[in-house]
Amino acid sequence: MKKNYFLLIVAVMFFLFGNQAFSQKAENPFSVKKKATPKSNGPKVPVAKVLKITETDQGSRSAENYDYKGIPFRHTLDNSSFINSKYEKNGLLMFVEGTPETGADFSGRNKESVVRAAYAYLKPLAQAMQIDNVDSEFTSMKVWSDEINFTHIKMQQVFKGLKVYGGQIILHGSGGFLTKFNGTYFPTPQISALNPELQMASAVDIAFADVAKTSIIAEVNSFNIEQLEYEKAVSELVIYHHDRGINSEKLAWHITLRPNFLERWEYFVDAQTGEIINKYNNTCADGPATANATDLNGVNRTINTYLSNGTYYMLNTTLPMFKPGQGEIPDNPVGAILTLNANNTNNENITHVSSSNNSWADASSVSAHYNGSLTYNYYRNTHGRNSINGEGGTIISVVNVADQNGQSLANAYWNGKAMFYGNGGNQFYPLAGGLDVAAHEMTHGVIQNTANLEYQYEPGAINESMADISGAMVDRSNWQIGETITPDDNPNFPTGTMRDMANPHNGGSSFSDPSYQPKHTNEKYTGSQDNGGVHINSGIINYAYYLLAEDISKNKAEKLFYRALSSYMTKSSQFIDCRLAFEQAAKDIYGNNSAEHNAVANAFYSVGIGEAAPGGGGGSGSPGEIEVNPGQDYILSYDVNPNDQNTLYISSTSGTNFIPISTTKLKRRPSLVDNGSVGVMVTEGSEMKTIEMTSPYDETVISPDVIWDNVAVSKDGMRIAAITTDIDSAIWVYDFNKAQWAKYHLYSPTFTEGVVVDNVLYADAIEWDYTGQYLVYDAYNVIENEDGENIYYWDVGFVKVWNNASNNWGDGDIFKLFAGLPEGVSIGNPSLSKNTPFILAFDYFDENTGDTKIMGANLETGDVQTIFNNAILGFPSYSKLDNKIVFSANDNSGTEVVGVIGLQSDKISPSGDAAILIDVAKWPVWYATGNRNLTDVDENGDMGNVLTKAYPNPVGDYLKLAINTEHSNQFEISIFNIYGQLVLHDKGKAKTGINEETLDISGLPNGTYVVNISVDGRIFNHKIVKAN
Amino acid sequence: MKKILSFVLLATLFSCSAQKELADKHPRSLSFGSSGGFTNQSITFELKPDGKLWKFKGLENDSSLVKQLKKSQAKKVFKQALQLGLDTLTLNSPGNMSNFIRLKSKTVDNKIVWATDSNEAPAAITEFYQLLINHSKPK
Repeated sequence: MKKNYFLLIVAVMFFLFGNQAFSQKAENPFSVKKKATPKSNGPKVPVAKVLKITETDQGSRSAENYDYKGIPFRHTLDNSSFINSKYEKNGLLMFVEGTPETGADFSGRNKESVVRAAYAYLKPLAQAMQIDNVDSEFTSMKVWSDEINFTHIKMQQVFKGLKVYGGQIILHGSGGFLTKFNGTYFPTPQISALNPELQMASAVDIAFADVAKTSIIAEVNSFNIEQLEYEKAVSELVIYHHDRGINSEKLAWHITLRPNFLERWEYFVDAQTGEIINKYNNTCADGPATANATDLNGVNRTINTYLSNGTYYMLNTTLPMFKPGQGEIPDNPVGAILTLNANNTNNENITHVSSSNNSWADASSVSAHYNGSLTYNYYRNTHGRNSINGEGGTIISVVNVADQNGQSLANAYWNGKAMFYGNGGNQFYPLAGGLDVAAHEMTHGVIQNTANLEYQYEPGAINESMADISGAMVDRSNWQIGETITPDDNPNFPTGTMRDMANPHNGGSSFSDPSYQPKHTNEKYTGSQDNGGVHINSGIINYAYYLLAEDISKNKAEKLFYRALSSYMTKSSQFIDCRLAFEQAAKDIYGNNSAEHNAVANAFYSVGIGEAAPGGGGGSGSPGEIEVNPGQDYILSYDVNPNDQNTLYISSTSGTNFIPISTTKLKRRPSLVDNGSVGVMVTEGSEMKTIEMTSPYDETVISPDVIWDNVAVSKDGMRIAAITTDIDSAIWVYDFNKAQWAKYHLYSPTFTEGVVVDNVLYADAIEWDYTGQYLVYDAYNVIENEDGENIYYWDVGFVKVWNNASNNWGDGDIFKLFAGLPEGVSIGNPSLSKNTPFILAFDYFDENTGDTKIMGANLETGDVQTIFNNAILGFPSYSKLDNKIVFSANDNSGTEVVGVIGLQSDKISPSGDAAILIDVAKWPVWYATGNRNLTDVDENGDMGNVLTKAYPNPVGDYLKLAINTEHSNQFEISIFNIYGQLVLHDKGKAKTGINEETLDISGLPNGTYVVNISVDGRIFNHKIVKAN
Repeated sequence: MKKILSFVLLATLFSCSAQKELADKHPRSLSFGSSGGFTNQSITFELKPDGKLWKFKGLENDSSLVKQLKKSQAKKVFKQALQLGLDTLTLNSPGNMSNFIRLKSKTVDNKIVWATDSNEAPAAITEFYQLLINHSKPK
């Protein structure tokens, strides 16, 4: 039941173009498609280089790096009792390891014995320390023991009863002996005048007068006294070394003052002259703080912490939901984000993540804390939701969680109150490192507080899907879930990600593969494992959401997600309820039967949930369509900036993130295989090359001949078709399996069987169809008009160059897209839609009117529509979902740009206005990097399922209808005239399979009609011409 | 459902006529563990009447013998399970992360599931579960 598109279109084109008015002739833009003279030697073209960033050697900075030479104050320690010693830059001893022969022993943890041992330890060091009398120049500050039974003693340097500011040392020991020394101090001061000329009160006045220049001086009130334990400035006479210079010692007043509630200043005032030697703001009040810390992915993050009683906590109280005064800090804050540490237990030993100096070494807690804030902000900024519970409740994350057996947990979960992150076991990296993991887990909490979907069977799968959707929306760079925490070499997840919403099969082929999820209800898991497949069947809803978001944008889709979840879904919602919830959300926001509403219907229909939108809709998965390429999509464009040596750029589909991949100058637009892995192209020097589409973007000359004008690669990469610079009607086809060329001559078929016309001069644009059998091409033709004048024009045809059934060369049969183009009209640059093999776009030019357009045609229905009125040839290229077209155009200044325009669900009518996508560029190719099954596509693009056909066309008195349906069902037939008036109506019952009906239309006058067949909830339109 | 559970427990724990005899049921295995979460990783322990305690990790697709209990210990555990009514008890309240216990014999295959940190499971069940987990931990 092959469709003869050629016959179908002939009459349509007559109808469309037959009565057009003629006006002055314009220059035919297709004239640029002239043949170029081949060059004997093409230019040497450099292959694009990718610069690799190499790590610089930061080196290590330690005491050993310092150069001690020439430092006059160094007094080398010469005592065999000490096995290791290090010096500061100023020559002073900073570290010693070893134990002196006598006196450094202490008994038990008796403080006095430790102090005595300390002095004994210091005495042999005195000379190297440049200390005259260790007994009088150091006083014990603190003695303590730690958890591994080391004993420590901290000592303050003093001089004649005055503190030497900044002089502190620590001695360490174990097993009853002191064994180490470290610290910073100064040589015994040489200062003699220790009676200050300046009294303390005067010094304080000087300090206050100075601080008043920059700070507000507030009165000390009871609040300050209680909260800050501050009544007045605190002063102390000290020996002060400015900038720690060992020669800069001065008698100074050290003054600590608080000019107001927030600030705390330290002043050092010369006690003899009143000069301010030094001052600094030492504000360090309890409360919010920020820190920079490295997360699990090695990225430096700014995180919000909290200082309380000298300890910093991983607690974010800076968010709008925070309620000061409620709860307790740090243990029970209200409206905060709090990250805790399970210390590698199964939550038996949860403690705060804390720090004494606001530095954070535990990357898991950094990641969890940071990602928690991002997800909170997502819900607040995108959905207006105030935290997990919607009421500003504290968000708690627990990291370093072990499994119940005490081993590393290869998981993360929500337990109804908080999020818990394991460190991955031997399957994953620490799970706190995944932003999508955090969003997923937090969303389980949001679900609990909204739809509260039961965690089993379909409601459970929706629960999991909503969590994944959130993960993909917060971590929205791709559709993968858990790719950050999944090692590339994990055999359970061969794609390097746990789940892929755009490709639920994710490298697996059955339920026994952990990576595999179904993408359609006909693949649904129906067993009882996994609570009825909650982690498995979520792939179905995930895929529906992916299709929806790709259709209407993530920004719109996520609004529907949240509204559906929070307003319409309930505890027991099934898949169909999920669809209805999304539909209702779309109706609420965008209106009934809006494009967004229909997109929801089509997305869910595509995964087997409900029917398609009224009118069929263009969503992928519809009958006759190819599955959507599951990979990430990009745009390849050709730069036309003469100052830019790069030519080909890969960019995002929104025209950002440009990557130059080649400097090769090209004759024509490159052609890519369906999975976007490799392209073919012809250089300005007529060489034929391939280019790898991933770094390092290697280019390879694949033909020794320098004769080429254009080349196209089949979708599966098995064949190429090429055109030479010769002015002839040949298309060359090379099959890689056969390793042979075949040459096809183009011609124009006629209505008379066996009669063809050799009027083709040469072809130019070529593209393979999805079966790998046909080429769609444009060709330059000449015919003689009635006056004997040669009329030149471009048209589009299909030639069969391969036969899949025989796995051999095709018979070369040709049919044209349109026959009988009006004089002066040319069409060219055909490009097939990505998912509907019988829809294509092309350039149109009418030299009578000067009109240049991008048009779309549906070969099955005969519909032809104008997509965009262009100024130049557009070289259109469909988007991955066929909901947009990109094309070459001119901006207002006449510079070539790449434009984009949306398409309606029929894929051939525009939706909205066109916009500039890429400046100073042309020849866009919208491609995707996933693999899809193209082997089931038959010559008509039919994939089984429901199909209808109306024939013959043109038709006489009896119209035959073929209706192929998977279900026994009612069908209705309506025929409309060109004015949209219903002229005939009939209905009947179709059985499963192919049904043939014959309609008597003898009562209808000759003319063009639309036959509307409604079956299985879908509507099919066919244009026919009645001609008796 | 809690009322039903309570009734079942009371009936099994305190009714002499309903007291289960080990010989009648011939339990072949007692499985317990957790599953769910982001990765859907399951960890399953399986106790056999011979005292062998096996461990299965879902994604790793392998098993290991983690401990050899005395037969008398295993017998005691199975007896406790029957006393708790785990051969008939109905409890199916999974959460994002769930614990489970499954008792299998010639004639019985009963599994109970409850969300961790929830109060869906009776205290006697969660205490028994913790006892099982303690058995599974290395000494």
